[in-house]
Amino acid sequence: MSSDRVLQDGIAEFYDQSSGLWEDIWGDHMHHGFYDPASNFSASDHRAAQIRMIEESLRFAGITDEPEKQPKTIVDVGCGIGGSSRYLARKFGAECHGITLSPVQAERANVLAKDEGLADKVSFQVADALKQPFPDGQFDLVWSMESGEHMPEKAKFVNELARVTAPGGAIILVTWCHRDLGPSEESLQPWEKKLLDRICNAYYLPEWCSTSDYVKLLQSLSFQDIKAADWSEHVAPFWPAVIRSAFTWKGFMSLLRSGLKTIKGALVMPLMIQGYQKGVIKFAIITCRKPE
Amino acid sequence: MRLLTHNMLSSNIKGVTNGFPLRIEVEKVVEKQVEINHDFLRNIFPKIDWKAFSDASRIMGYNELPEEPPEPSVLESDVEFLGKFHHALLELHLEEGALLCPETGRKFPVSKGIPNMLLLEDEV
Repeated sequence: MSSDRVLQDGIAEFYDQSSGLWEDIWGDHMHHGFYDPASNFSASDHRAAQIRMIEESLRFAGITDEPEKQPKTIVDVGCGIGGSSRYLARKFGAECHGITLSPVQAERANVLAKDEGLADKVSFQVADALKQPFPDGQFDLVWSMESGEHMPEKAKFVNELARVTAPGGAIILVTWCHRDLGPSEESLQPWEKKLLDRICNAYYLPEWCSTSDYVKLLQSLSFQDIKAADWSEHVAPFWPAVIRSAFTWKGFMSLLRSGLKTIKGALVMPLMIQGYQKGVIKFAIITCRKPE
Repeated sequence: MRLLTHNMLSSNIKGVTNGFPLRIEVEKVVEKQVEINHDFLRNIFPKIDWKAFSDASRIMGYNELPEEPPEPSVLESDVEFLGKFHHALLELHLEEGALLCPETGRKFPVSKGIPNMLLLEDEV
């Protein structure tokens, strides 16, 4: 079996096992919240922050409330249990398709869609982001919220995002990257690689790339209005909050029930904080538009 | 899986030039009622491959759709037609069955309404 296949199976199993716990404690958005640096938060703010992450991402991409500019068809690449899909479908009245490697997630996503009266607007498939089961140019908005870090071949991943984007459509890619390399650097420092390797192992991540790697890929595909930003300071409160939730009684018991993969993922959380603090890990947003 | 979804899926197996539309193998069709939204239907109509859609609806057991796409003006005024369009597009679900690549015949299983489009290594 190829390493890509092993990775895929690992990702599917990790999320099959962990999704329930995450949803139970954090709700249906499986991504970071967006916070103002240096403000104070309470536990209830985190859900609002996760919604804000979606809104800030749309704003960064220049997708406004003007009716003609709003997307009508959306693909959610790495959709989790469909939090973004449902939110975007509701917000834009758009048709949204989500893809995930996890059958458990797809099923849960469909149930939630039905419960929220969105079964006509959103649908979920088990599929590979590197080989999306859609014809070219299908979607006004291609949305990848914190799934890029799971993709093994970044060029293939970006190619597929580009392929399914409709002319004039937008890509919004929010993902974990490592810091950009300096002009004389060939790669990260050994200690940085070691840190990332430990995280990769627990979260079923392939090798990381940098924000500018993504920008270069999109430039090579002739996308326009390519914008990138480092939002690391806007997500800083998130991991400490997740760790605190693991130490509540509910969190702890849920962890024990969920399985080894989930527990391993939980144990590695301090490394994420370390990675951000030491400037190795960057929370990046990259957006662009396909020419008409 | 609704037919709206079916209209957006294609086979991306290596070497396949035209993977759309996927053929449908029915094991279980379920009807799920959904509130009709005329504006949504009018907006989505231009994006639908009508032939693939109407063929698929017949395989799912629904014979009310014309083979030829209607003129867009029909969607403005014909409420009865909108109802049929809505029913076929959004209310018929392939709960169990398969989607087949039109060129290779390879089966993508549909289970609990969810298509599994993952390819094997030699198909990529």
